[in-house]
Amino acid sequence: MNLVRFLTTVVLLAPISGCTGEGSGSSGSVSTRARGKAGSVDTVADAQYADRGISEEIVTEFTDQFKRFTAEGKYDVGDVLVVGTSGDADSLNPIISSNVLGRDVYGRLFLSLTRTNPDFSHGPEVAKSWEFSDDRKELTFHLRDDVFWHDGVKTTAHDVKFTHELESNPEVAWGAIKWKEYIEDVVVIDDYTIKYVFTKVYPYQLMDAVVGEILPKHLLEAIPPAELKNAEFNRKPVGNGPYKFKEWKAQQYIEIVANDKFYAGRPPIDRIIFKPIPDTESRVLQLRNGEVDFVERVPPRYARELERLSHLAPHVYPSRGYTYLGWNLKNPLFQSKRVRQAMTMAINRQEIIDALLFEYGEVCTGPISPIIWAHNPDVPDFPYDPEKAKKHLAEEGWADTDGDGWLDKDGQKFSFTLKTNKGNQIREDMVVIIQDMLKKIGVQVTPIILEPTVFFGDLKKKNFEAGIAGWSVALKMDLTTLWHSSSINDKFNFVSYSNPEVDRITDVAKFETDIQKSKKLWWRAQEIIADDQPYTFLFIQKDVNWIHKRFRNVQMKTVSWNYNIEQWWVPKAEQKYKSQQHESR
Amino acid sequence: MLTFIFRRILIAIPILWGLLTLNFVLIHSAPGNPAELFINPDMDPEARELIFKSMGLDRPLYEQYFSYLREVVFNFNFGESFLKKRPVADVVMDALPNTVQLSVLALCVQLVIGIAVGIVAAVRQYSHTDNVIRLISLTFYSMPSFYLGLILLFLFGGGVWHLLPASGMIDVVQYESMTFFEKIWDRAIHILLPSITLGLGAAAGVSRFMRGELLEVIRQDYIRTARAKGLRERAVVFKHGVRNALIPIITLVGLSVPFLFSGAVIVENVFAWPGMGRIMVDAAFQRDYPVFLSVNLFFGCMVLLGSLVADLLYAVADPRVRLE
Repeated sequence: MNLVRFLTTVVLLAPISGCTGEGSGSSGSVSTRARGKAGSVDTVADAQYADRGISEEIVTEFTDQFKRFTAEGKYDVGDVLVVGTSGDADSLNPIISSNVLGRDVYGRLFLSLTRTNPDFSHGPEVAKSWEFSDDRKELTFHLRDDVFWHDGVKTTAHDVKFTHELESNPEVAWGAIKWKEYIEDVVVIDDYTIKYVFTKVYPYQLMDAVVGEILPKHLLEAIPPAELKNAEFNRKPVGNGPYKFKEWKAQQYIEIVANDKFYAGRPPIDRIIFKPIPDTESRVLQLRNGEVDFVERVPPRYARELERLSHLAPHVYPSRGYTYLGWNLKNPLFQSKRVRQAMTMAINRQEIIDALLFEYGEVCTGPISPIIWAHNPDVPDFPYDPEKAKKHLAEEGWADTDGDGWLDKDGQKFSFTLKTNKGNQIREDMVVIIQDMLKKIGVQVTPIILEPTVFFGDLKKKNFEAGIAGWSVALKMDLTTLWHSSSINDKFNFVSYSNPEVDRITDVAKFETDIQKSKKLWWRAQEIIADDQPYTFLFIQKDVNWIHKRFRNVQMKTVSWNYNIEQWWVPKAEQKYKSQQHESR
Repeated sequence: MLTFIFRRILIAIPILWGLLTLNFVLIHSAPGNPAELFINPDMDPEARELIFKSMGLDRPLYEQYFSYLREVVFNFNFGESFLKKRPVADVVMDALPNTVQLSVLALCVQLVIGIAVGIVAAVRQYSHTDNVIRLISLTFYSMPSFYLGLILLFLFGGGVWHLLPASGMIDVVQYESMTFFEKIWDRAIHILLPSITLGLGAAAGVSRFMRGELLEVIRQDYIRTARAKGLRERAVVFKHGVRNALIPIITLVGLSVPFLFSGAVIVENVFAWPGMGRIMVDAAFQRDYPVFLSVNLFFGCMVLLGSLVADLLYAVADPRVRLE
C-alpha cells in the first residue's frame, strides 16, 4: 500500500469531509472493544507495534497467513461488495491520483515491491526478499517471476526502474517525489533483480525505495511524462494486483473484478463496486437499507442508530491522526508559553470527547501519534484545571481590571478569533464548546467557520489567531515539516513555532540509524514541544467503519481498512448476489 | 422570424462574454485556491510548485484570463479539470445527459401536477379544496428542494419504507445482468424520487400561476358568450378557458428551464445523481476553476436558449404575437 498517498489524501480529506475527523489510538496499549449488540467484532488496536515501522527485516508472518488461507481453501467464492464512498476517484493511475478515493481503488489493482503489514512492517509482495550492501548504500530486491500484468505480460525489474524514473521526473509532478530524493540510481541487474543506490545512509531507505505502486512499462513508455496526466490509462488502468479494472462510470460507480491469475490466488469476492454518495445522511441510510455493504469512517453520531441493526458490524481502530488547536505564536496574545498552557488547562478535552465522539476518542498530549514507534507516552500534560489556568494568567498580568467579565492587560482585552473549517461537524461544534469553556476563565473567543479552501489558505498565510485542524500522521518519523523553524514560511509550521533545540534534535534524529539513539532524541523533542504547547493537542479519534455481517475474515487496522480485502469472503448460503462468473470454486 | 433568431444570437455573444468574465473575476477573487487542497506535510514546496505549474496557476491572472478566453473561443477547448484530472468537455459530456434526463422528467412532473392542480383550484375558487391546495402549494413552494429531498428520501428510500432506491441512476450491482425491460424499470424507479423532488417545488409555482391565469380568462367576454351559448361547463373550462390560460405558461416553462438546472445542483447531491449539479458543487467548493467557469457558461447558454424558445413558442401559440 502506498503510504504517501494515504497521507496525501487523508490530510486533505479529513478536514473537508463531514465529521470524518481523524485520530489515532492513544497511549501504548489501547484495546478498543466495539460495543453494542452488533459489536461482536473485537478490535484490538495495533498501537503497540512500536519500532516495526522502520524495521528492514522481511516480515513474512502475514504473507504466510495469506498463503495458508488460500491453501486451506476454507472459504466460499462469490458475492459482491458494494462500498459507499463520499466522492468519485480522480484517477486510477497511482502516480497521478491525489485523492483517497482513487487510492482505495488503485490499491487493489496495483502492487508495490513490498506490502505494508498491519504492524507497519514490510512483507514480501512483488519483491520476495531484499538485502542491503555492507555499507548500506545499496539495496537489492529479488522479485517474483510469477506476477503478471492484467494483459498477460510479466512484471519485471524493468517496470520497477521505469516507475522510479517517472516518480522522480518533475514533469510528472508526483506528490511524493521528495521520498525519492536520496535515491541516486536504480539498476536492473536481471529481469528479476534490481538494485537501489542511495546517496546517503538513513533509517528510511527501505520505505523510500518501495513507496509507490509499480506501473507497466510496456503500456506507458510511449507517453511523454508531461502528458501522463491525460493518458487513457488513468481511467482504464491495467495493473497486476488481486483485482482487475472493469468499468468506471464517472460519479456513478467503479467496478473491479477478481483476478483469476493473481500470484497469491484468486480473491474470494467476485466484484467490488465503489459507489459515490456525497451526502452523509444518504450514505448512512443506504448502509441501513442494504444498498451498500460498507462505509468507511461513519461519524460517531450515527453509532447508536446503527448498533441497533442486526445486519451491520462495526470495526473500530485508532486512526492515524490527531485534532489540535493551533495558537498563532506571532500573535502577541500567545507568545508566552504559560498563557498557552493556561489555555490548555481551561479546555476540558475529555468533556469534548464525551460530548462529540462518545467512546471513539482519546485525549492527545503530544505531536507524535501512539502508532509510531517514536511516541513518548510520558510528556508534560496540562489536564483540565480552570483555577490553575486563571492563576497562570494572573501571573502573566491578565486580570479583569474593569469588571466587565473579561480579562485584560495594558488596556487590551483577552479576546481572539478561533477559526475552523466547514463540513466537519465535530469541529464546528467544538469551537462553540471551547468558546464557552474559555468564557469561564474570562477569555473571549469569536468562532469563525470557513470554507475548507479558505481556512487552509488562511492557516498557510498565518492569517489566523487560533485555529482547529487535524493532521494525519506519516509513518516516516520526522518532525521537520510541522515543527522545524525552517518550515515556517513555505511548509506546514502554521503556528510559526521556533525552538532551536527542537530544530537541532530534528536535524540529527532523522538521519540517526541507531533506533535507540534516535528514539531518545525524538522523546526529548516531544517533551519540549508538549511543554511549549504551541498547539493544544485535543484528541485522537477512532475510525468507525460499518460493514454487512455476511462478510467473513474482515480485518481492519490502522494501516488501512482494506489491507486484507483479498481474503474477505461470504458463505454461499448468505451470498446476496448470484455469481455471474463462477458457479463454484 | 430568422432575423429575429439571428439578432438574438448576436445579442447573446456579449452577454455570454460578460458572464464568463464576471465569473472569472468572482471565482478568482474568492479566497482560497485549488492548491490548498494539496495540503500535505509530506509534499515538498517544490512538488507543490510543480503541480501549480501543471495547472497553469503560476501565470499572472490576466494571462490566465486571455488564454482561457482564446482557447474557448477559437479552439472550443474548456481546459482540464484540476480535480477530475481530465478535459472539462469530457467531464461535462458525462454528466449533461443525466441532468437533461432528470430535468425533462422534472419538467413533466411540474407541468402535469402544476396545471392540473391550478385548474382545480381555479374552478373551485375560495372553496375548501382551493384553500387546501393553496396551503399545500405554498408549503412546497417555500420548502428548499434539498429538504424536500431528504424528507422523501427518509420516507421512501429506506428510513421508513424502502420502496425506492435511495440514490444513483441504476442498480450498480445487477444492472448489467438485467433484461431490456428490467433495465428500463430500474432506471424509472431510480429517477422517480429526484425528479419528483425537483418537480414538486416548481409545480407549486405553476399551479399558482395557472390558477391566476385561468381565473383571469374565465372572466373574459368570450367565456360568458360560450356559457350563454349553453355549452357545458366542462367544455367552457377546458376548450376555451384552459387553452387560453396556457399561453403564458409557455413563457413560464421557457424561463423555468434554468431554474430546473440550478435546482438540480442541490437535488443531485442529495440523491447522488451523476449530473451537472454535483460537478458544479465540487468545482465551486474546491476551486476547480476550469470546470466552474465552463459549467456556468453552459448554464448561461441554457437561460438564453430557454427564453428564446419561449418567445418562439409564444409566437406559435398566439397568432397575435409577431416576431420581427
